Parts: sequence; C-alpha cells; structure tokens
Amino acid sequence: MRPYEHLPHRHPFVMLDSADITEEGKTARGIKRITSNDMAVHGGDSLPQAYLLEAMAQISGIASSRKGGSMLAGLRDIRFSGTAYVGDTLELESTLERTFSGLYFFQCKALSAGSVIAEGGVILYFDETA
Amino acid sequence: MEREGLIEELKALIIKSLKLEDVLPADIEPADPLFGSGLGLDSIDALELVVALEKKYGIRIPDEDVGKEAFASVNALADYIIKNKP
Repeated sequence: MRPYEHLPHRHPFVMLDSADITEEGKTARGIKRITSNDMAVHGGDSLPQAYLLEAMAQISGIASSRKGGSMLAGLRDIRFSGTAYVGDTLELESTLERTFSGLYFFQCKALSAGSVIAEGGVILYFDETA
Repeated sequence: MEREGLIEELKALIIKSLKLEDVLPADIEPADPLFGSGLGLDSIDALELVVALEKKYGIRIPDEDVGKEAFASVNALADYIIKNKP
C-alpha cells in the first residue's frame, strides 16, 4: 500500500516507500530505499538515526491499522547496531505489543542489507476521543 | 508469595522498569499514590508498568479504570496482583 493511505505524512517527510499490514491492528512491514537525493540524507552517505527513528514510528502507525494521525510519545530501549547507506533498502517491521489509555506500545526493528541496524520500543499516542 | 515480599518486589520492579535512577526502594512509601503527587509517574509510565506487570505476573490490567484502582499505591497494586494472579 502507499504509506499515505494510513499516515497524515506527506513528501518529503514520508519515511516509507511502501508498506503492508501483515496482521490487521497488530503488525506491519515496510521499505524505504535510501537515495542520495532524499531530503533526509541531505548530501551525506547514509540515513541519519533521527530519520531512522521517524521511519520506525511511521511503520508503527501503520501497524496500528488506524487511519489518521498519532503523536510519537516515546522511545524505549532503542539500540543502534548499524547504518543504512545510500543504495541500501531499509526494511522496517513493527508489532503492537499493548495499548493502554490511548497509548500504543510497539516493538520495532529496522534492517539494512539483511542485518538489524536498530530496534526497540516505540510509543504512539492516538486521541481516542477524536 | 506473601504480601510484604511482593511489595518489596514491586518497588524494585517499578524502579527498574521505569528507570527511576534517583529512587531507592526505601523511598517508595507503600501507601503513597504512584501517580500525580506521589512518585509523580505519568501516563507513559502507566503503559510501561502495565507491560512489565503483565509479563512478570501474568495479570491483566484491561483498561484505564482498572488501572486507576491497581495503580492507586504499591499496596493497592500488591492486592490487585494477589487477587488476579492466574
């Protein structure tokens, strides 16, 4: 699916090229090709970690299967173990672990060239009164 | 598990899972509120506590209303676990 079908984000701040909900309301997978003309790369040779975290938050938003916006409320126990370079295809996976009081806790993983380069917990807030 | 032992275990779990680096178990008064004026925990802490407690004790805190009762204090949390542990 096109990420913007599930996210309010628009170019150039969409950090996913495509995504699929693999289990409704629970898990999603997506990819992002790292290109030199990407705003996030900004003339460098790799995707900065801040944008990597944004990509993890966006795939988590899609995993929730909720349309519309959420806010990134927290990141927990994030471990970086590699880098996504220009030319790589970044793979993202997120699984919803628990919801409580409008907060959604996901376990998320980012892989590049088949190796995990970042993983950890993502917390999103959805306004359930909206 | 006896209640006093559970209370001490819960204090340690709260400190560890919420990474309260400046808090010692002895600083947590079992009757004090966990949220707001007590330990000053917030809604994200509540979510993290729910995840940690469900993993460790196999209990279920289904919604905010039950959470308010269970998280009233460490004493209330111990009572909730004793009552609802599978």
